[in-house]
Amino acid sequence: MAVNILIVDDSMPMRAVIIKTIRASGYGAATYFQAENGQDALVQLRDNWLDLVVTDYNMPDMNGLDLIKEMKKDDVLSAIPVIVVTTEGSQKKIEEFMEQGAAGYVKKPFTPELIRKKLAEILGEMSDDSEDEFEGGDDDLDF
Amino acid sequence: MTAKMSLKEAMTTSISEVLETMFFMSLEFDYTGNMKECIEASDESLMATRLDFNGPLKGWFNFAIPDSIIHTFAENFMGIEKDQVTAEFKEGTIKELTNMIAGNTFSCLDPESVYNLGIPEVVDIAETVESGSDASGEVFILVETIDGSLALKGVFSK
Repeated sequence: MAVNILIVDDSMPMRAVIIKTIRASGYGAATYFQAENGQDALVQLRDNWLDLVVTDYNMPDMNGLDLIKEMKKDDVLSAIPVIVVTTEGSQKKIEEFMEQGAAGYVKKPFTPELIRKKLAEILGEMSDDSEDEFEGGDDDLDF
Repeated sequence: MTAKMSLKEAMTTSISEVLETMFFMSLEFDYTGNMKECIEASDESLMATRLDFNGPLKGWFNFAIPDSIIHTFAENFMGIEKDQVTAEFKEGTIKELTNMIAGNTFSCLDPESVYNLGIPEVVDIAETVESGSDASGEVFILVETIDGSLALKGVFSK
């Protein structure tokens, strides 16, 4: 299963780290899109077919929470799951993210295992060689 | 005094978690000295940041780190080769480091309270010696790594 993932963070190194971590989590076949803030992300979301958004909270111009709110106003974008990856650690803030419709939350600093677990919850388990694995073999393929 | 000790513990825990989890470094801490002494003792150029915050406490963090160490951090953080590290990568890495340490400090200090963090910015190293008002408390931590020392200062007031 190939997925299109949008990484939203004003820190270019952090976007690179998140992509590196997701790739190492078995989602190497994914295509990655990048945005520097919520406004930029909305443009990407309207121009591309995306399966998942991974966003920071604290960004200039439009933060991650406002991005989620804007996505929820749109019939198509509201169906895309959003994972918030941020330094914000207060219980109130986490509850606010979830109440506004975030599918998951990962606090920085994070381990690759934490990212993998969250992706698995939302996208399902997969690995780089998953496309080669058919439990039923060729006999089950119906052309 | 008690609050300041809590802040010092929270900052120490935060630095440990960030640098050990995301940069795979072992650390030692020294709470003596101050930013001015740290700058004067350094024999190489330092990069510095500032991040403002408000909430139950308000103030700012300064982070100072030798150029060679931030170069190594950027390599490790982004998983790139030494000759691929650019000035933009170093600036991005030190800003993100500051952001993570600051945010994590407040999570350690009081997860029930909401703190609003500003956007981290690179500043001239001379600005990091600035103190707060008389009502402010200040916590200084020198962090020893295998590659050298870096310094974090937090200025807090109610």
